[in-house]
Amino acid sequence: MRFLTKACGEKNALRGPVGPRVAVAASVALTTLGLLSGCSSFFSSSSSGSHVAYVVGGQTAVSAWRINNKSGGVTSLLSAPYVAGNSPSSVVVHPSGQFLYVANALDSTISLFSINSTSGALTEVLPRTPAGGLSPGSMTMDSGGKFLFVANQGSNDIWTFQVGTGGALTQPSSVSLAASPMGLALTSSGFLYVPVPNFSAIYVFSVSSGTLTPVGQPILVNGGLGGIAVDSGAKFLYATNPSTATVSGFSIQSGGSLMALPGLTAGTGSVPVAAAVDLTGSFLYVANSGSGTVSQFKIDSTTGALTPFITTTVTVGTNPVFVVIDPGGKFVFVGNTGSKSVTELTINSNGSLNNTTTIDVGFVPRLLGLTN
Amino acid sequence: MAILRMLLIQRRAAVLWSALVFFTFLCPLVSAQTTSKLPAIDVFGGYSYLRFESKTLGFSDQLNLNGGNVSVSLPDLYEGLGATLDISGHITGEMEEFNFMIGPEYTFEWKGIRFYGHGLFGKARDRLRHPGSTQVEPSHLGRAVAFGGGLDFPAGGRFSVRAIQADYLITTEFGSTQHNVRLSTGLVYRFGKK
Repeated sequence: MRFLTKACGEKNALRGPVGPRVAVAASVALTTLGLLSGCSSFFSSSSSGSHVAYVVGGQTAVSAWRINNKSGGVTSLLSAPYVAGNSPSSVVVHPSGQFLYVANALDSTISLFSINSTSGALTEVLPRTPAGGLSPGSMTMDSGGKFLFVANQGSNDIWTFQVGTGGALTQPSSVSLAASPMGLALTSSGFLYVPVPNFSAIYVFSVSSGTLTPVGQPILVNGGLGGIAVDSGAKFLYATNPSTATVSGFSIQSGGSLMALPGLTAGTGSVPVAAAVDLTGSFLYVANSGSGTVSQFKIDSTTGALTPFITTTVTVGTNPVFVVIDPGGKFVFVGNTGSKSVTELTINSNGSLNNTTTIDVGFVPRLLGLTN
Repeated sequence: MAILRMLLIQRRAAVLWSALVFFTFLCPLVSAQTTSKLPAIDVFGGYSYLRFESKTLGFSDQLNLNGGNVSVSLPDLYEGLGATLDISGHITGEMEEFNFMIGPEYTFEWKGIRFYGHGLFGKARDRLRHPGSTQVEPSHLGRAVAFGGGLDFPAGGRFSVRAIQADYLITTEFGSTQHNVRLSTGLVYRFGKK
């Protein structure tokens, strides 16, 4: 290179007429600036290759992990954990992905967080909304994001909130139950199912513009009652039976009432407490708190009958208590209270599960919510 | 806390602007006294764009940061080989990124245009902005390595225009490695021997 410099006569070149060189240099600089600003706008296209999982639990914690849509790879959000109220027990992400709601059991309040779409960071919008009753333990939201339903375990009631501007919760109304509600399952057809383990019964409500109307008498479930799961087509409802380590099945009638599926006695692991149906309605996954496993079943789309996979269970952490299906339908998240972790499982093409990743949460996880 | 952060950001911006003003307007006055005695010293300052691989930090996409880049180079210590000290700072709504690097640089001229390439090593400091309702203050001082180069066009007298400087910038922040691209443009003023 050096010979090139000498051959070209660097000093002579530098001593040429100044005016044209300035013009050339200025035009080059302006072109560069234009290219750089062009780069900015070109590179700023946002990617939808990931979504965020928010885990609530511990004393006041909401932790967050970004999940790769294809690989399921997990990256911790640096600014997490975020601070909610006392004893967060449930979480719901608004369908728009802009807001997140956390039920604070000890405060009997609902925290509203705004979600930063780029970083995933949560910023709480204060003040917190009173949950209506005492000890909110479960929440769910309609697919349109217009209403939030809150089950209060301390006051035996269900409150409905309208979602207003900025995600604010307004115009509460409520219905009472005879005992403590331990979950909520809202169907696409507009029915809300509420498990009440103390009575081993499932309460049914029709939902119209956020108003809850009881449908018939509560349905009794044999073998005790843990969690319930409804398929996306609202054809079948499955309830775990912790006392007998089985799953009960029901077909959902057109009016929302439940009819027991005859002869359905699918065995699970020890103490089944939670269940979830995959997005296609073809597979049921049950968390067995006693054995630290997840049972996996195929669902007969006509009869609702359950057939266990050859490998009946997949090992997860200690004392799994919730099962959440990923919005993309490729992964299942299981929260383990004993090992303070969340197990990510991959759904294979045949519906069976593979243990993919264990996320060390660092606190007792109560529930997980996902952005789309 | 937010006010303190704003003051800090404003102070950093003021330092960058001061540097720009210094070598744009005051350098000619200083250099008149010292030109013949000093070796060639190039002082550069200008705009800088950083494409930051923020997915490794939990962001949904890579980030585009804008900021400034200043450097002081001794371009011809021995047969075109020299050294450069490079400082850059970039900012966007979600994060700040600063680099402090030094390393060897090779320069040659062709038809009055100066080409150079360098390898820089040093530190990078990253800080998340608007981290939300959290008790942590996400900030980290990690390593930085940059490989790149650029070209300067003479602009009359001791000034030249750095049309482009492109660097492949590798940083290790918050326990992960980021592969970034930094592009800079601006003005260069040469002290000492021409």
